Amino acid sequence: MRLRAASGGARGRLGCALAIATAMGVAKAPPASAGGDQVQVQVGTVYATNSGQHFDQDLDAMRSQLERLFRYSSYKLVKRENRDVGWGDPVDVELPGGRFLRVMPKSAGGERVSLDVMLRKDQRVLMDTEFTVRPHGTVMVGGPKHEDGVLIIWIGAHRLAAPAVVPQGAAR
Amino acid sequence: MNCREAEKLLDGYFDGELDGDAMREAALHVAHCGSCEAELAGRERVQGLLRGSVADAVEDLDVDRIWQGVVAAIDEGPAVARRSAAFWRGPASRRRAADAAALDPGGEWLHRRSRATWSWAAGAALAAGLAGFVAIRGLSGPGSPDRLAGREASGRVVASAEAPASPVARLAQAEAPVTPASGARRGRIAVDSVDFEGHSLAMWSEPETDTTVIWIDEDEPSGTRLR
Repeated sequence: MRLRAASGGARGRLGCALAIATAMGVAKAPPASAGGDQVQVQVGTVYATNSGQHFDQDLDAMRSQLERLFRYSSYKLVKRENRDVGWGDPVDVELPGGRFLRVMPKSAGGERVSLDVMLRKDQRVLMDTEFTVRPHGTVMVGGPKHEDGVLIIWIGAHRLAAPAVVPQGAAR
Repeated sequence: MNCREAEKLLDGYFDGELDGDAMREAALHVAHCGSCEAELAGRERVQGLLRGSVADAVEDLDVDRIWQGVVAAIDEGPAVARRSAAFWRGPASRRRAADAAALDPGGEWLHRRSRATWSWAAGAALAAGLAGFVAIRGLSGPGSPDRLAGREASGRVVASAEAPASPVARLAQAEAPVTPASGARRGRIAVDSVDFEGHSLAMWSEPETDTTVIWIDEDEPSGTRLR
């Protein structure tokens, strides 16, 4: 009787473990809408301050936009990264001041890309957001203090076209 | 009239929107039904709380600043959608706003530990500002069951440029303008949610460049509380 009870408990634990493993597998699986393709995530960090009058040449393309959206006198590009990742794969970016940014493309609907974005400073989560962006759309996260200015982080993403499938015999 | 029939009329009765016959029937039923009378009393309590909270919020609302934004937006014509004209702030964030002189004054400031839904509708800046202020005061709405419960934990702003909302929901969820009211052009970005640490958070957008800015103030003491 005791042995049977123990076997039942073991079966229960096994079933429980299987259920958890199945659930984890489902959670880890890419979203159905992703279709197995990739997404390019663009992350850039700008240091903006009112000390001096300097505009980084690397930011020329977005100069007017920065000056319209913000009111700082100096803008300097800290870093810029473009990464091609799969759905659910995080893009981790270290930022000045012990900050850390994680961008994770979650799913796609048409041209739109849904992103999870988390900004941390040491162990503290400064912001955890979720947004959907279309091609050429940009989200800028600003405000974190750095030296005598602030950091402005821009985030964009777009789906990468799946490689074209060449029909057999087409090369002939 | 039974309670089920009366229940459908209670809102209209409470708001005085029923026609004569329906009003009379509802009144007669309520007069003889303790349950429906209690329902009505509950509505009165909620309205009283709302009225008091809104009055407090309006007292602190910087109407002049909002109005300047509305006028500026009207003057700009089609460019009104460039960014929100609403400027939401309370006593505490006014101080921070003064420090944030480098920011565009067209931003919308939301206190931490608030929850709001956000979308752009040109010309609705005043309403949106009021709605935002209602939200930052911690009023609970039908779409935000965790608004009060979450106040001590973390800020959470729910924003969407695409989800339609009724006027009531708009007030309750503190919707602010992001996309043109005509709906002809929808923003390319829909911010679904924001959890943030810090005292205040601002969001504004520039539809021409498909850019949305989320501005967090990370240096405020975390113990700051709303009234």
